[in-house]
Amino acid sequence: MGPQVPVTGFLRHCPPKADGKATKLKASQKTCLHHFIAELSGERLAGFIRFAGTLLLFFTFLFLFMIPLTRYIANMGRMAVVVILAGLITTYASAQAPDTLSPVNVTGTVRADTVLTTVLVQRFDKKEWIQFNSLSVADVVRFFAGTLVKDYGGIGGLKTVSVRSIGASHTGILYDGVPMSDAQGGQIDLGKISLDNLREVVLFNSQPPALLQPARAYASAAVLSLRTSGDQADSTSATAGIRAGSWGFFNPSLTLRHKANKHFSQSLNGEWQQADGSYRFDAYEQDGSRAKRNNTDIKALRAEYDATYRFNYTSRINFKAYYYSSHRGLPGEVILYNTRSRQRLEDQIFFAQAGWQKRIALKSRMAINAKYQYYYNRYTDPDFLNAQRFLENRFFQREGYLSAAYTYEFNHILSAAYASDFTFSSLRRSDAYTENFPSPDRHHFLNNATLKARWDRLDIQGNILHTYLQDRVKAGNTPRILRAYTPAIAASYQPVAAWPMRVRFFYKEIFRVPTFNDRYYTLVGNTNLRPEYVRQYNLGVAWASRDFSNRFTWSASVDAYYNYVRDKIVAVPRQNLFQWTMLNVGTADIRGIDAVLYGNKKWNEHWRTSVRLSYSYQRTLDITNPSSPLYKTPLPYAPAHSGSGNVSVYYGKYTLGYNLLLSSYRYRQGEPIRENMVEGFLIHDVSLARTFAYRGQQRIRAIAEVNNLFNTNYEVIRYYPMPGLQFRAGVSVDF
Amino acid sequence: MKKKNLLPWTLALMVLAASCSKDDVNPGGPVLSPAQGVYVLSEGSSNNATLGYYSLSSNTLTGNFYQQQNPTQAGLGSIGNDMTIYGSKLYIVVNVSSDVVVVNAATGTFIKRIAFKEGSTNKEPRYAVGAKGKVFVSCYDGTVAVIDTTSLNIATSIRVGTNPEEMALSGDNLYVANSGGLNFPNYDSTLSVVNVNSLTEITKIKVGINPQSVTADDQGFVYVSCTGNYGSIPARLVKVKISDRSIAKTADTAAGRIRYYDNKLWVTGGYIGLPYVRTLSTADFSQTRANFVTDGTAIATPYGLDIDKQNGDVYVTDARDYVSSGQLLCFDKTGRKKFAVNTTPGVIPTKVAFNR
Repeated sequence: MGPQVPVTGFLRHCPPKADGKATKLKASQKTCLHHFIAELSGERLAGFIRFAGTLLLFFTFLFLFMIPLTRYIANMGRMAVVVILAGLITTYASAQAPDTLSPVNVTGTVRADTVLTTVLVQRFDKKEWIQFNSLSVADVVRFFAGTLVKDYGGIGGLKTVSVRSIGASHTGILYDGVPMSDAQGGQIDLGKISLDNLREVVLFNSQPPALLQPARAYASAAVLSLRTSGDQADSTSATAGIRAGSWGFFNPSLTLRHKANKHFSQSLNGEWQQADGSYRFDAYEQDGSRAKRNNTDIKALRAEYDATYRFNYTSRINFKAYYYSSHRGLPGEVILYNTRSRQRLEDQIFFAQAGWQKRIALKSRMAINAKYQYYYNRYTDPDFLNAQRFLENRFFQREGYLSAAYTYEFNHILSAAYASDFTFSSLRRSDAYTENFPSPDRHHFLNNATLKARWDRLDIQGNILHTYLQDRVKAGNTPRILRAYTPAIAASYQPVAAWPMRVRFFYKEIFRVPTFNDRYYTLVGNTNLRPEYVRQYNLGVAWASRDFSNRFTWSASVDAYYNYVRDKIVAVPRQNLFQWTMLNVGTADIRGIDAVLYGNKKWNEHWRTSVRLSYSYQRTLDITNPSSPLYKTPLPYAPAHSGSGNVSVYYGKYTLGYNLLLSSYRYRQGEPIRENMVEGFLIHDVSLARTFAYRGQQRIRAIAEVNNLFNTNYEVIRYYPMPGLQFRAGVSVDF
Repeated sequence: MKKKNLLPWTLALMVLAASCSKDDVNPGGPVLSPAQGVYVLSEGSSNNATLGYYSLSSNTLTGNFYQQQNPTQAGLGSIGNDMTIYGSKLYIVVNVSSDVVVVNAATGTFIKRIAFKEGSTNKEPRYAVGAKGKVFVSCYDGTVAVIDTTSLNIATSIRVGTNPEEMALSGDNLYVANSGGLNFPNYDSTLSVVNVNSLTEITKIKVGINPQSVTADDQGFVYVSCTGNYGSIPARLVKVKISDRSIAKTADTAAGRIRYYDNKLWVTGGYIGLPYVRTLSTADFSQTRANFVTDGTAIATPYGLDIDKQNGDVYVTDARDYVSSGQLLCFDKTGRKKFAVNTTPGVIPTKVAFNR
């Protein structure tokens, strides 16, 4: 469990009221304000707050969810399935759950902390994804319920994640708690984020329920939080690894850790990845023939340095420097009868971030984060038919970021947080098109206030986010200043004290701001764009349990959601397809269900199995224009059914991993007709790992992977064929 | 079902086509027989260029006619930009796949796919015009490629300006709009004059920034729509006098596609203009009709514009939102709708060719 994953589940309800903690806190009050608030928390007032809270929850639920919900039942009747399912689970649980099961016991490996939350939280750690045959964050995220990883194929292919069909630009990414951003394109290529130095990947619908976090963590429709191992240097040691596989894949890595003393530790992690990637696929032109992907090579270097200084138990500083550089071919989509592809992309990302977390007093904490980021990319097309017969685009992005967050616990029920972020970003280009380029500078202020109340069986958290965004340009029109308030509320309730079960709800309103490309892309950008708004509603139920001996743990959750997206920013062609412009056209109605089941059984001292299953149903509708043929048709690339399974079998030194990914058919952009259909797929991966002893300890780890076991020819995006059967093997040694 | 409907006209046309001598089109003023049906080409979004066929006798559209007639072919390719019927063949220009697909004009059956390559580089063909036993194809690599209609090979490539787009034939000369669209911000502004006998570029006429669409009248003039630079330089319409290659008239008006018929210019607005088909006076470009449609039929995005010179029917394609199937609309010359049909699965219908 990562420190940032907040313990909001019923774990927190374990300490009984009379355990003295609250009394101790009371004794430590020093100011009148503290006394005043402590007095407020008297039994009567607590009762009133509870009543008011329940009332608030009830009305919020009624207003925000029931209206679409009733419509949903009337229209589709599908929500009934959830209700029935929830009912069945409840009935089953009430019949099965022994009264003796005390919530206090649930502190073991079962992930109550990430299951019984106010929002759906899905998490994988390194031990798990090692079995997933994964290289980049994209390979892990695709197993989460409700995600669509748009994978353009191969190691170098773009991979972005859209959560619940809201769109990839709505997914915020935190890297060690600090936002990663690409103000130019808005979508982070998850294929560029290696798993080598990560220890945890967590996906939060809506936002992380933690209090001490930057305001930017509240500013997306979903948040993907990535935690590195950088601050985990608890000894002076080293790990060296090497992996190799199909299509010239070669991937050495090295990590050095140094623990100077109890205050200071540092680590350095470096990795090289290369592949020619020219895999074969079924040719589109002729049945039965095979074609080869062209221009798919990639070379990438990544280095990360981390340093942590712990003053004492209440204060620490983290520093990270990150560098990534890659050169790759852009194979593009397969074009019928035309195999030529020579476009290239080079990019360099450097960022340095520092964070200071301090517990100021028993009840108040603060966190300050700062970051500087530099991002360079160069795109070339030697086949471009301009006068020079060469197209070169060179862009530079710089970003400065400062964030301060403060939390205060009024008492054991009520706490509050305030976070304020400032981001400065700029985009410059240095190529043949600099003349009249707006060279935008962006000032982005975010302020967020959160109030959280938690009783034994009820959590309510609400926040309001203020956005102020101003762009300054050197040429062309200056867009209007954007000012907006957006709220979010989340609640979870434990209906029966003895059951480790929670019913949860959230509502969130948020938008994504137009990116630099949306606004200023030469001839295409549109400075009049409005932000793209999304409203999310979620109602779910989660259960987390284990038996007494801690041999069998399991958790399950089912969430139903409704998303409404308006003013979608869409590229629309002008007179011909070589001239596009960005417009706010697009309204989407997205309804679905995400279900996650996790079980871990220790059979005996040798054998252990863990199973994770996820399933998502969604019904997406384009409701932009009633007179369009696309009205009430599915959104592009949104499958009705998708799911994944991960099974790991542990036997002594061996681990066998089996992974499954499935998607029903989808349609590419256009009407839902046969010509636009992209077929569904079912992909199987297996892996076998074992550890070996070296100098008396299990320090050597070897793994063999077979990906796409049945050599299935499939596409995630139409005309971007995915790799077939492939092999990888790796070994790593701890020194 | 649709196949059955097509059979009678197909047979009739094969007889008709066989009775005509090959490649005998006279651009001066042919006596046209009535169209049996119209082909409609849709650009598509990617790899789904679509050729449909609308039978004027059965009033039905076969949306994916090419696929139906050629089930063993994978499809036309990526971005069907233009087509022309010359002689007994239909030449379909597929821009991004970079080739010209030749099919039998009467039956739609596949004859040949001509690869448009210069060495290994794609020529990216754009528009096609037939003349003198040849089909001339403007290519983004700055050439007009000449297809020999007997061997169906590229006989030669004539160098013109940068990124040529539409062409118009007048007498023995082809007028080629050199857009320079890929050479942004340094657009081209010339019209190349190419002699179809000598297969050489005779001269270039400066007309205005970013010329796109060209049409010729029968009184010795050529009209060019220049798109401008989408910014400080506005779109303009230019009238060129062929005899002395002088500019006879210009007007600042946004025109997408322009066609000459019945002593008028028929003009779409393009992206930067209005979503109507207008008619303009050829003399002073004054607007004779702000919207040639007289019965209130709305067209969301008028995109392609072709006129059946035999009866004056005006065919407009509606690209709608550019992502869903478009529409083919036919009006009589007074602007009353004759029919409208969805081009499903064709996305962004752009060109109509008449099967006579």
